[in-house]
Amino acid sequence: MNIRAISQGGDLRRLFLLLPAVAIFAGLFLMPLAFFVVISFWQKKSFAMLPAFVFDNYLRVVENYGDVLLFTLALALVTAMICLIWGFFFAYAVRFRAGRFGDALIVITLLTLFGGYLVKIYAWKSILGSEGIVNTGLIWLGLIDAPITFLIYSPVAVVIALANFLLPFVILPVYASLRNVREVTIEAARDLGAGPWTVIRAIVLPQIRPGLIAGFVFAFLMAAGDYVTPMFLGGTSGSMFGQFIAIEFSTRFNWPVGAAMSLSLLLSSLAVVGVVSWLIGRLRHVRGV
Amino acid sequence: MPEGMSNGNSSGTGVPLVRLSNVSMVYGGVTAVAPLDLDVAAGAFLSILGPSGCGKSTLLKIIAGFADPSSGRVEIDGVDVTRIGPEKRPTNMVFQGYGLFPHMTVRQNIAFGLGIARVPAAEARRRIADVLELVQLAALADRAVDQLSGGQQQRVALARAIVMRPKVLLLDEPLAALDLKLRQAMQEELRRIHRQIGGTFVFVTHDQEEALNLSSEIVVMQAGRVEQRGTPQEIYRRPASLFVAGFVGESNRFSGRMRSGRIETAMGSFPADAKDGAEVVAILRPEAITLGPVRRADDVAVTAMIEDVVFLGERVKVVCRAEDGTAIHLRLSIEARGQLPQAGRSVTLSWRAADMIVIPESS
Repeated sequence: MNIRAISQGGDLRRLFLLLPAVAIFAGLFLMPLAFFVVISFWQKKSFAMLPAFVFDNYLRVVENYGDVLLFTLALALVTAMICLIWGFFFAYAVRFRAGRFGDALIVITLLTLFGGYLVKIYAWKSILGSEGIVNTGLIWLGLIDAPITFLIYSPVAVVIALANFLLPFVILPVYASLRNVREVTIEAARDLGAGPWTVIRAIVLPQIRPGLIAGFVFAFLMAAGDYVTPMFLGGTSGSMFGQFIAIEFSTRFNWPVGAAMSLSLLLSSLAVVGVVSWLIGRLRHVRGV
Repeated sequence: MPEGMSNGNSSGTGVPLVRLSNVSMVYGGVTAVAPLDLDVAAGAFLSILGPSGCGKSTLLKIIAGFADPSSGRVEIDGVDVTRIGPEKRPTNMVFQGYGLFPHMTVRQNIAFGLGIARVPAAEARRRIADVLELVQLAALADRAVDQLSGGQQQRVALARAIVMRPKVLLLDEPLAALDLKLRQAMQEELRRIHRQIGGTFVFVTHDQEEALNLSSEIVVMQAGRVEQRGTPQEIYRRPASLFVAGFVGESNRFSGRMRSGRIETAMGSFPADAKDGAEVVAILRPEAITLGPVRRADDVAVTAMIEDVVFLGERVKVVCRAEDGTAIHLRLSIEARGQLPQAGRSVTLSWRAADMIVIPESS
């Protein structure tokens, strides 16, 4: 096929070439979402769904699950922030301090993604449990007498395991952004009197805003939507919203409420992402003169 | 060799503004800078000139504080700053590649250092306005720096350093990335700015023309050592080594052996001042040679054939070949409608014996 053939085909041909992408987008993303939006306004009678247009389901989300939703968003926010801070310093060290070991460190980061998600959860179970490495170690050292109970089956355990799993998803986009930060801009800032924190705050972070936002979005959305980690490690105090959505869909067979919950989580997550992205975007603003 | 020349600018106390004593730099067993001493007088425009890898940039980084010298002491204005980082030194640098902050406007770039130094807002505004005026960027103050041309970015980098009023302004090949016309224009700018604000400039370059054009003093470096230090005229007219002669300006080289006050070359023997029996090279600048009949009785003269004539506008480059085959390069200035020499003609070339610089072969 030569260039002339393409241009002669004109608009029709171009639309035709777009078709697979449009089909995937519509069929796999838009349709299910639209379906969820529609049935979130339906009603459930015994084990059947009745088409309707009522807000009962959303009311139930607020009344029954409002606190869980807020808790889930807070937990995901904490997890994403830990990942962002930790991931930034790791990526920063890889970019500017590790020299020729930098590439190896990134490869190792990628390798941890092959470890599998459930494996990591079980690993944390054996590390944090009352018979786990941490507790037996601390007892052996004589620092504590009885196992620390809040280490497992608690929000702490969920945050630790999620942060561990999500860290690579933050490191990679942040590192990619950092590669575009020229070292001479850092030297110039130091030359003008900036200490290490000022260099990071005023010179490095503003230049990697897209990477920070991408990393945060990955970590936050995956954490907010997760229901396996809290199931295994959260106990009763660390239950997350996703677990209740799963129950509504499976055990209770209440799809309308499940759909309303899913959409509520989606919208509230987007709101958090929007606010945090805006805050990260404001990093650009330096003290004006 | 002229050492420690004075440019009449040294501070009243006689203490140089920058003093490096016994400074060296070794990177993983490789010597980038061999132990050396270097003084810079207040008000000087000192160029450090040399080929890439000669240690000139490392030397600048040592003065700025970006490189810790392996040995020696760095003093600025009488204060030992050897162990002080770049953020605390009274120096500012114009970086090769500028290092402008891409997320800031021109004004924000220039304001950055003042903000850190907590300069009061009113004073900062005034200083920024002054420096924008100085580098002729007032109209572009609120542009993002990535919208500027290379020459404009260069000015921002300069303004950002100058606005801090450093005791020493360090410039690391700041013009290397610019094209020829712009580079020449920026050289004029730099001369003007140095005249206007005074201050002490240390300028690193590999471009000998740039160094000759800008500097009150030049330090020529090679392989981590200082080859020669002097005014541009001294460096050009009295090069201390074959390296300096070859690196700064063009030159003809006639090698030979000294015998009873004359250098014996393949082309003939000429009067020269060097030890008897020494292997020496006589350096002769292309513009020191006259084409045509001998004018002064004691001039050196040779017969040669014109091989090539290259018209350069206000000058002509002429390549001749002496009877023994030695190539001789000339630069002649010609009048507006003057006749160009003709290739293929046999001519007499002459020069003053004193214009030959005799340097030992081994240097």
